[in-house]
Formats: sequence, structure tokens, C-alpha cells
Amino acid sequence: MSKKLYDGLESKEINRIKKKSQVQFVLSHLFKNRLAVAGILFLSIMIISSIAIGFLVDYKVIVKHDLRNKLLGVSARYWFGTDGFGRNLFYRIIYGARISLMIGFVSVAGSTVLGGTIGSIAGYYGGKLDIIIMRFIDIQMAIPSTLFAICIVSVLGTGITNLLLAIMIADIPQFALIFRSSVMSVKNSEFVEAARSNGCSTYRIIFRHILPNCMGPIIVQATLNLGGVILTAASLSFIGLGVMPPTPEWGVILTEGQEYMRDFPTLVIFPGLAIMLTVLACNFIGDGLRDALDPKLK
Amino acid sequence: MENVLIKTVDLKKYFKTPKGLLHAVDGVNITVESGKTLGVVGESGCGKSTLGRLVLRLIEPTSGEVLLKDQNILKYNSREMKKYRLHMQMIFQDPYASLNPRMSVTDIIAEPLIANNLCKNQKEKNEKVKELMDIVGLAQRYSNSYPHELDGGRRQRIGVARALAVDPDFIVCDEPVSALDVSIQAQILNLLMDLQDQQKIAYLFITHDLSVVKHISQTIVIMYLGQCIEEVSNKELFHNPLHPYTQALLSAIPIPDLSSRKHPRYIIKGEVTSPIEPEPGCRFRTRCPHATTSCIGRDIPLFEVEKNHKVACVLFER
Repeated sequence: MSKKLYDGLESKEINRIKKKSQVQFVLSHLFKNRLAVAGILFLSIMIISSIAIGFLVDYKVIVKHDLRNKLLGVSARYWFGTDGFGRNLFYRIIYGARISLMIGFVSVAGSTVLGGTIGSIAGYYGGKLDIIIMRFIDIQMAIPSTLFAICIVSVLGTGITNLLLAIMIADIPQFALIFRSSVMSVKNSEFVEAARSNGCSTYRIIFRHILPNCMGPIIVQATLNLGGVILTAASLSFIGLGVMPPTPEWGVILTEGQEYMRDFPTLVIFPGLAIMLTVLACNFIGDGLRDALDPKLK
Repeated sequence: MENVLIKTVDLKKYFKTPKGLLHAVDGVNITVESGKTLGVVGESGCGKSTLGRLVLRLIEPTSGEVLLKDQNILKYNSREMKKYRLHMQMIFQDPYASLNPRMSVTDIIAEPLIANNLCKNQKEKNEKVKELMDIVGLAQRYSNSYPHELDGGRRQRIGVARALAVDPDFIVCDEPVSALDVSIQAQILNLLMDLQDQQKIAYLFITHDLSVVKHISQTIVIMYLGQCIEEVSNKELFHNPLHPYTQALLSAIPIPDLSSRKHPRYIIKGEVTSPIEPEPGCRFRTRCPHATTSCIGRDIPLFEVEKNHKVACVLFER
């Protein structure tokens, strides 16, 4: 038998063209959105430079006091000036991106997985199990997530790991709710019934048939949440419940700059801008993804 | 009747609703012989689809038995059930909703093979899928397409291929052609009949379209409000319908002939009575022109009027 198929294309070629199409479709829509592209660019620059700085600058330089050079203005050597302890503010902000983004990505990933598991179980099985799980989620939803994170940190103690855990646990309900409603909207479709009549296991039905069909809202929620999480982490550090000085976290840098705010406003403007732009970038990407994943565009 | 493949005994399914129990399927006895087609006809909401799902145990019946080769499948636990699923498959009504939109044609057809560990490796899987696509008449170039890129007929062919993947003896066809236009309906029906000839598959064919059922089935069951009211061979149904409801159904088929214009039409009046907590008695009696007091108070069983012709109506009670 010849390898040529109906359209004169070889089967391998067809494979290559078709397999990519859905991801490519979403990406091409995403890249048409200028704000989303700006967000992606900004975040990529942040990530790359925060990784690069670990190799280029010694961590000791970032935390070491140099009181002779304190409170210098913007110059070629110190791009954002120096802080009250004479440390290079630019280095500290870029290094801070490491911590902020790490907290953001890890805790969003964690709450997606945990909330997703809880929400999918509640949504798929329904009935009494659903009622019990959802009442617990409701209780947690009644407490503002920042307040909840403050409670957890004050119980567990300060530090990056505890901050991360606190934010992760505080965000579980949002993801549980969104997973639950997505699973419920898909689980009664005929193709899920078809999967059951084909003899698929419950695990396979949830992971292969239901979840791929409700990834859209979840991806959007996760991206939008990333900005919020970075903000929460910074504010907890700002009030002294998160990362401890001298670690260059954005909230910590803000607290340190607060003292000199009146005379040296750049000490709070630069870390503030870093937080604001990062959160904004996450929101732009989230909005762009929401539009790109909208099935009505197809 | 020899060669009985599937048999239901007094199968019942009641759904709980705020107003009371909804009798979706109420004591249905049907028999499907291997390699034959049993048509199930009835109007919307009479429990046809529920019956199909009960037979496959996609929903749990309230009571009754489903016998597959004399084994009651309702007694099996989920692991044993998985084995029996290989004998019974389903083709769904809506070819748009019954295919996972995120999976390619190959993945959809291969899904039952993977879920039941029927293929050892990728190569074997691809060969089997290719073979199935040939059987149902799908060109190989569609193997990496997604369902939304194909038309209704091709999608329904995917549904047929998926049902065939595990080599079943029995397929429940839940209105497989009602979402398709007429020319494609004929293609799919002929495909199903060819498959029956070649692979000796038995069908439970659910439909509301009498011309479709005439084309495909040997025996026909008429359902009304969850009950089986007439069971009859294909020929008998169109020549000698007995139950007043069946007669009304047949007289509603339009005749494309001017001379039959003045033929009296037998039109039933009134609405279908509620299936929630129905009173005992014939469920058709509120709309039946022959209704008498003897229709009330007790459920009317199926009587064998002639060979292969059973009807549940007091008019034929002996």
C-alpha cells in the first residue's frame, strides 16, 4: 500500500499539522491581544532577570549593609539608588521578583491541585458528599482570604514556607468552587456517559474526559489569581507577617523604605511599581487567555 | 424463542421528584435475540431512552432484572460489570454531544480499547482504529481531526466505530439517526444493517420514527408512559395494529397521495397524563375512544393475541 493518502499528503505530515492545531489556535488569539503580549513580555523579563541575577551578583552584596553609600539617588552605578542601609535597590527588587514570583507560582499551583481535587470530587459524586464538602468551603469563604492567611501565619510562625502555605490554603475555596461548577456542567454530557458505557474507570473519566473540557475557566482563574497572590504575599510581608528582613522581598523592601518615604520617595516608588506592574501583567495575561479560550470565537 | 441474548424481567425505574415518584419505566419485559433488532417506539418522555440506559446499567433500575445470556447483570459489582460492558455498547442520539470535543477521532475510537486494555501497544491500537474506520466508512485522513471539524453523518460514524471497538454482541441505539438529515439517516441505517449481517450484532433500536423502525427491525415494541403496550412483528404492526394508541400512531404517518386525502384520520385528543404516581389502570384511558370502566383500577398485562403479537388492552382480553 502506498503511503500517500487522499489529499496527497503523507500521514506523518497530517499528524504534524493537526495535532498542534488547538494549542496553536489559542496562542495565536492570545498573541493578537496587545495587552496580553505586554504582560507576557514583562513577566518573562522579570523571570529571566531574576534568575540571571543569581549568577551575576553575589547574594551577600544584596543583603550586606554599606552605610557610607546609604540613600544615594539614581545613578549609573545604582540604577534605582540605594536604601537606608546602602544596598543597591535595583538588585534587591530584581532579586525580590524571585521570591514574589516563586510564592505566586507555587501557591497558585498548590491551591489549584488541592482545590481542584476537592472541587472535582464534590462535583462528580454530588449528593451528600458534595453538601458536606461545600459547607466547609462556605465556612472558609466567609473569612476574607488575607485575614485567613494572617491567622495561619500567626499560628504557624513567619517565614517563606509558612507564608506560602497560608496563601495556598486561603485560596483553596475559590478553586474548589470553580472546579466543582465546571465538573458539574460537563459530567452529564453524553460523551461522559459514552465513556462510562465504554468501561472507563472513574479516574479516567474525570481526568481524560471531564477536566480537559473545563480547563478554560480554570486557567483564567489561576492566572488572575497569580497577581492577587503576589499582592497578598507582599502585603503580609509589609505588615511583618511574611518574609523577614533582610530577605529582599517586595513587601519587605516597601516596609524598609517607608521610614524614608518623605525625603526619598524612590525607595517606595520602585518596589511599588514592581508589584503593580507584575500584578497588572498577570491580569492582562488572564484577560487575554479568557478571550482566547472563549469557544464562541471558534 | 431460542438465542435469547438480552431479556428484562419486570424492569422498573422510578425517579424521585418533589411531587412524588416519576414512573419512567414501569414493569417492562423485552427480549432481544442475538443478531436481531428490537425496535422501541414511543413519543417523547415515554421512557424509551431510560429503558436503553437501564439495559446497559448506565443507570441503576429500581427493581427488576436484566439478563444477559441468563446472567442477571444487576448483581455484578463494578469490576465484573466492566467485563460485561464488552458485550454491550451504545450509540447515542446526538453525534455532537456524544463525542469528547477535546479528543481526536483516533483517540475517541481507541478510548474503549485503552480503557479495557484490549491493545498491547501503540502500533496495535493504530491498526485496530484504522480497521474500524474502514468498517464504518471513515476516510483515514480524518484520523487526526476533531469532532467539530466533521459533519453530523461522519460524527455518527465515529460513534458507531467506538461502539464496535470492543466487538460487542449487543448495541443499544438511542435514536441514532434523529439528529441527521434524511439522506444521511439512510446511510447510517444501512451501515448498521450491514454490520448486523456481518458481525451478528443484536440491536435495541430506540426511535420515534416509524419509517425508520420499519426499515431496520424484526420485532417492535410500542411504549406509552413507561409501559410496553404492544409487542409485535414488523409486518403485523403495519397491517394489523391492535392497541388504540398504536392505531393512532400509524394513522399519523402522512400518506403522500392525493387520493387518500379524504381518508378518515384517527387523531387522539388530550394530553399525555402525568407519569408521576400514576393510578393503576390503562395509562392511555384518558385519551382512548374505547375506554370503559374496566380500564380503571388494575394494571393491564400483555396478552398474546396471536403468535408474536402481544397487546395490553382490555379490548383483546380473553
